[in-house]
Amino acid sequence: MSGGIDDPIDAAFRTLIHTATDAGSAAPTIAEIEAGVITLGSVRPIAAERRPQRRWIAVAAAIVLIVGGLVWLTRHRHESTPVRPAPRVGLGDYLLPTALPAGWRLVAMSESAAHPAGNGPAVQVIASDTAPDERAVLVSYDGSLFGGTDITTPGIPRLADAVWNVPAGPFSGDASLQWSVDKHNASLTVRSLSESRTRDLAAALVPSTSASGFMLQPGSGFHIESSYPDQSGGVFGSADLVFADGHDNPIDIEITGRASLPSVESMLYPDEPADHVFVTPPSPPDTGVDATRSVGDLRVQAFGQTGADSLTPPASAEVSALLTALARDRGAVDRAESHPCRWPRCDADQVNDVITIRDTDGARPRRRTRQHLSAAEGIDLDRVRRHEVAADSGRLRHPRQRCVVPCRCNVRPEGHERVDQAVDCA
Amino acid sequence: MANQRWEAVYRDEAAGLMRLAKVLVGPDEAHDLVVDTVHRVVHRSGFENIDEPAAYLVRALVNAAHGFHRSSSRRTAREQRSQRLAAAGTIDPANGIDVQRALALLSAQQRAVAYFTYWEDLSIAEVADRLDVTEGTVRRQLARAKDRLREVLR
Repeated sequence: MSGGIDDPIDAAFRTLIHTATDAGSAAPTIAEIEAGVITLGSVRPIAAERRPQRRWIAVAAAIVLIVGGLVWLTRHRHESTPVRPAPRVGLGDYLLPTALPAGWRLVAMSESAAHPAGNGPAVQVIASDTAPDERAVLVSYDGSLFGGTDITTPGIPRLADAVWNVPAGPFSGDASLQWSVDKHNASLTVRSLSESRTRDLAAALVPSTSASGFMLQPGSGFHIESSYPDQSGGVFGSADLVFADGHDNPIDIEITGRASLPSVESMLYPDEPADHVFVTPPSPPDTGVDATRSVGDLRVQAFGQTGADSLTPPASAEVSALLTALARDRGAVDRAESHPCRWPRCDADQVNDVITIRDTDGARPRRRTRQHLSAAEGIDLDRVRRHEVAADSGRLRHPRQRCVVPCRCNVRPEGHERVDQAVDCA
Repeated sequence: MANQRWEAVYRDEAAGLMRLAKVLVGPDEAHDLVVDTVHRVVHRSGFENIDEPAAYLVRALVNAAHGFHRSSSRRTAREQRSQRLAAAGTIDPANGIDVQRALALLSAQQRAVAYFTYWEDLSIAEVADRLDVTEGTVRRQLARAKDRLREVLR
């Protein structure tokens, strides 16, 4: 793994991890495990205490910030008043990757579905009172959604210590500032604003007591142009595609469905065409590229980088071409369905249908979704696996509790009869 | 018999689980995280039927780390510890990196990905298999973790 890494940050990371693992005490003894001995006096082992009244399911997504932003998507419910979850709906639409740029091929793909309801971040577009180019997008999260506990992410500082983050590339003006205030996490991505102007704007923003998001104090020179409350931010499905060029350099493309929420780039550059591809080389340069595009309610985000398995960063034009190719055949194929769990105790947050295939030449297994089996050549079906992700902390389930439901692949080329294939999950 | 099985698994994996826990939640709470997680998992009915108990423990540990910071009682103790650590200083003298601050910038999944990548030297595919996520997820989380670390190193 380490042999092909050129990024100098790898050495720092390796040192960091080794330093972290060297510190502290030895592993607990078996006797301590048996007794459930916790060194904090006020904390008893979970197995001996009642389940908390509220538990939280979090789905992390990072689709609305250009660099380094985090979006937390959570849902919650009382155990004492069980609520039948809404059906998982998946993307609801699909971008069939055809007519790929020369030299590129699709090598892997997976898809997941999630509950469309839930609390996402509040997103607000802020515009200058005088300068049309000066715009900002505020993504904020209310800690009270977590039951009043302080969910401020470790490492997110108060405003006075917030780091001014400036990405490289053609959108170098789209800097960002991330801070926490009064149990709210906030991230401000700006266009054509200096650091000092951005900090002044951030200081004028205060958490709203009557609605989600922030309020803008009078006299700031800015106004809130539009707001997207947290209920509209729920991710309702995603697909993860991996493309590779002739040298096996990969590019990951994530397609995410969100309700009624434009991309940050679209909000910062409203004059650009709706399906414009925004490409942002990360800092430092020559380590990769990020690109994003909006296609209706779907967000398409590409991500390529150098690293152990990718020595040549993809060119911006290549990434842009891939995103454009994806949008060409929207709606031509029904998505592979992801069924809700039917097992009584199985309430995992996401269910992915993943097929592991084995190349006939003995190469290592790769994961693909079912709809690509018919198009793939030289492969034998090895096994079908239903892959679930338990987002709720500490709720990893016994494999026998995993859902066993028929998986269906509904492929319907435009103008052709729908074909359903039922495959048992092993 | 069931006890003998988990005990044998734990003996083999204890050191690795502890190292991973230190990366996930820091050295002061790693002990608690391992005790808490293993205690719950091995006393759950059906543990003896799990095909890959070592991998199961790893995933359980990573999942438990997601919620570990949310416990208010732990938070109080952690804040007290943080004050002590701030007074004592946690800068790694070898490279000047504030280890705890750097790790605090990462999500639990990013820490787990970094641990398996830089401690166990696993490939992207192997990390994905270990954590039961896609390779794309591993690549993204690792790159975002690097971005975060760059902020610290500025």
